[in-house]
Amino acid sequence: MIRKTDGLEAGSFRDPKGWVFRRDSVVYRHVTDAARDDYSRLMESGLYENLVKADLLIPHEEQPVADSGAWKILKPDEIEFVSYPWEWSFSMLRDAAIATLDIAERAMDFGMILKDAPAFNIQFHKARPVLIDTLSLSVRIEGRPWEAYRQFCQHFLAPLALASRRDPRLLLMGRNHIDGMPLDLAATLLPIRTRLKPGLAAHVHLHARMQDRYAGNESAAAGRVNRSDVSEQGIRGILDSLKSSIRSLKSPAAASAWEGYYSETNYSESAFDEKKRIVADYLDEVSPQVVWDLGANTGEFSGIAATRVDYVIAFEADHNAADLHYRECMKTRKSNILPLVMDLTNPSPGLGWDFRERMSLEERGPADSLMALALIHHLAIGNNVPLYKISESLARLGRHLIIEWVPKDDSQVQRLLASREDVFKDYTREGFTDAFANDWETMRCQKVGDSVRELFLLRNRTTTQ
Amino acid sequence: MKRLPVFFLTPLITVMLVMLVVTPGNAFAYIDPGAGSALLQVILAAIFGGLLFFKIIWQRIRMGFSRFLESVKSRK
Repeated sequence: MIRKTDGLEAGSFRDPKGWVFRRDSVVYRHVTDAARDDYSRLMESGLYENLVKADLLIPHEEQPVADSGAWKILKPDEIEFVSYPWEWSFSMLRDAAIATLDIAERAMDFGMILKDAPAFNIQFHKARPVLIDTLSLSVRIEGRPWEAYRQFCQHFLAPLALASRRDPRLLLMGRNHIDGMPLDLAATLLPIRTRLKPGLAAHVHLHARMQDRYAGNESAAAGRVNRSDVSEQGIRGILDSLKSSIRSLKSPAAASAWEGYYSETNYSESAFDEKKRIVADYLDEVSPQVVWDLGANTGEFSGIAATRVDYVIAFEADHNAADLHYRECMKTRKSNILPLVMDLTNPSPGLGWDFRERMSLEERGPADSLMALALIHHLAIGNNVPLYKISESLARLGRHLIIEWVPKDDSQVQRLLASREDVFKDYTREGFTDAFANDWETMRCQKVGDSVRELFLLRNRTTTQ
Repeated sequence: MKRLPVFFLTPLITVMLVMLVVTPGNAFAYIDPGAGSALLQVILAAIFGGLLFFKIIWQRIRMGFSRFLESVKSRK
């Protein structure tokens, strides 16, 4: 029976053996007596140390239990920013999948098993995927199948196969299917030739068929399962096959796509350097800890912010740009940038049970500082959002704002207007400063080199008082 | 990890195709997605468990062979 605990995290209610709660904005894990055997084995067998050393499991400290009714209270290391699989690019989801399989394999070396495998159990900590659910590891019962198999296929393999073999935009379907991609749907959407790939044929196509065949006849299937043993070698074989299948999937963002991402800027080289200098200056002036770079592209400016602040979340609507950015961060071992796929005209809403199981973007803010560089014209002209609405929305997301004003005579704005009527009479510098004056106070404003653009440093009138 | 040669995979695909044909059909409305998954796992555990066994042996043979080649080269 789940005891009602103050500050219970909205997404933590499924496992009766333990749950997460928040007190004074610190996250704790409540462990009940029912988890005693599993937790003791995890800590005493050496598995905990093994996983933490490999950066695969979030480290924790045990806390005094007091009168909480818990058997143990754990205080895990803090995750810098909670993100969800529909916000991850292909390579992020693939790294999270490989981490999950690594953990499952290591668990078996210590006589344990990963009992569930939803993608939500993985979070990016110091930009690496780690398991945050310490109670996901339980003592393995000889002969029993891997209970998390279906969940792993739905949360990782099916969306990765779809993104790689069909289209990366299908990753966004995770928003609709928060218990993972239904395998029959994935099988329908995947190209027919994937049936010839042994891993995908077995774990997606045949899996979907088996689910369908035994729908409504579960006792017959369960009877056959109960009469058979699944050996440790068998589970290791399945894990190995899943790993090979995932490794063989290529990112839809080819490395050659690098060229072109910044060629769309219309800055001269000197003006671009000037823009970098001004952004750095502004950041130094407000010295934020956490920066959200909105419309980060492949992360040129996120990189500048990362050398000055604790953590940067780099949001980008284009999947391939975000994926290239993530891979570059991995290659250069940048541990304080988290690239995420996010379309700001339709940001992540609150999802799941009671609207709260998975947080909206807004709930995860506000950031100390926002950067909105070369963004405003995409929102105002590309998406017809009135300037005052952009101001209001950004004011709910951050305490400071570094925003680039891109006037109508800028070639990028002209490009957006080329095939449509100009209905944006208020899209002027004065219209912009008026619209933002309600929510923001101007701290600095500077023209960028020889360009027509300007950079503003603004302070939120409400949240910075 | 090196990928297995194709001849290992052909019987695997055959077994899977046979499985697709012989698994009994049913069309009740209520769905328990876990049951089919667990049963599939029993079957796949036998296939992939066996395959992993051969994969490990194959790697050992390769490793042994490349060590042998290296030792021949160094003797020259």
